[in-house]
Amino acid sequence: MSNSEILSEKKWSFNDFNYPVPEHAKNFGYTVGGVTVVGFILLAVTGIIMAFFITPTVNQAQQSVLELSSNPWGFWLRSFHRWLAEAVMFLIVLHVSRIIFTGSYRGSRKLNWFFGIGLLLITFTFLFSGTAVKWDQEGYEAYQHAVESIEMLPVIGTPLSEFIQGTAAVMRMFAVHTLVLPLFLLIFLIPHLVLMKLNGLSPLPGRKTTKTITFYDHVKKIFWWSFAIYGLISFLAMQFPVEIFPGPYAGVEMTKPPWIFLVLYQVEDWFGMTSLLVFPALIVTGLILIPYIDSKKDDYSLTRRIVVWGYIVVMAVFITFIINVAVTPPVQHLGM
Amino acid sequence: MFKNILFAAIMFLFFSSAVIMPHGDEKHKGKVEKVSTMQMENMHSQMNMEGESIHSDSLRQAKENETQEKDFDQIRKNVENSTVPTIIKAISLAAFIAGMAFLYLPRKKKENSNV
Repeated sequence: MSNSEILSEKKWSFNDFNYPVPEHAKNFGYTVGGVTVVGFILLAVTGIIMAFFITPTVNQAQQSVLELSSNPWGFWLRSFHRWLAEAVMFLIVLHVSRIIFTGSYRGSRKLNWFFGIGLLLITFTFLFSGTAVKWDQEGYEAYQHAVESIEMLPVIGTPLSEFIQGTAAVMRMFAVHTLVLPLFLLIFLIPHLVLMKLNGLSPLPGRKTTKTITFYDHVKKIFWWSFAIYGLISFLAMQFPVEIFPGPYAGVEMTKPPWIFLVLYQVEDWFGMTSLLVFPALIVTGLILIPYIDSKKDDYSLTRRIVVWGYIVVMAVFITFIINVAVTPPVQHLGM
Repeated sequence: MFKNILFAAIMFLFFSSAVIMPHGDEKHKGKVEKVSTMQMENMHSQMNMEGESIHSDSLRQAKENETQEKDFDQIRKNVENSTVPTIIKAISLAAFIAGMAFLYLPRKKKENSNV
């Protein structure tokens, strides 16, 4: 009997998905990826509700956001959506850190690492386009940065920047945020999860565990961590609501981007607008090279230490950038 | 035990909306003040810059004019005066505590869990 015949005759039950996984699957570091997926689901749900109330035009976008916020539930919904977006970004940084510290990008997991880099870039673009769509001063400044940096791209720069400019600007950002990016997210997330299942959970470095728990125990951990984290995020969203700025006013820069973009803000301060293209390209290149630099299965190899300590140093520098920009007043970048 | 807590949580979430409704947000109760006038003869003659009929939905426009005078700080103050933020904070806190409780409360290990 062939495999396909066995599969077609098998009577599936939920217990078939309750396979054993290594015991360390219950550690927070190994559940953070799942918690991030829950965050994406919550973002999708809150985003779909908001889409019924947002008018994505240059003249009406900001007013429609204010109108939505005039209702207390809408006020929370918008703030929660933004807080969720930033929390998911933070969780992704934690997830990437865990992958690097446990060397889970080596061997058969290399392809999944590349899908993960794609997901990281998609999440960045989600956060950026979501900021721009509300078309207040913060959104307008973010959008102008995008236009000026896209113009610097060779060949496609000019036509692409012309496409996203004009009276349809907000509508096109909205289409990117609600249609294009979710599609790309699914294209990258589904293989990411399938490959994780095929490869199995990566081992703890330097330790061999024979103990197992069930997959449902792992899912339960993800579920309860999500309850705790997103419950806290929901509270914070109401206690410290995300502001809607006035404007937009052309020719002035009075806002700063969301915290993760402050790294780029610092680099832009020093090297100008070109760095908005060069710096992310360098980071992505570095991430792509990691599995090639550290390809040995030895957990104590020199290359492994170089990658881990290199990552720690780079992250320390980025955190310094974020703090530095946070405590200094905004500066003019556009048109410079 | 787990089923009981889950049932209680679902019932709490279900009835929380019923608890909220009679108290806050009196000012948000629907009250028709203007009507939509979808008059076809005016559709072409009275268009705004975006190509929309200015008579297409007077309710929406009236509401827009109302919010245009507000800024975010005013909206925030109005929202804070309602009971909804307190309810949302309470539910959020309940979710946080439930999550932490299920993560850290000691439970009996199943005999077959460690193979």
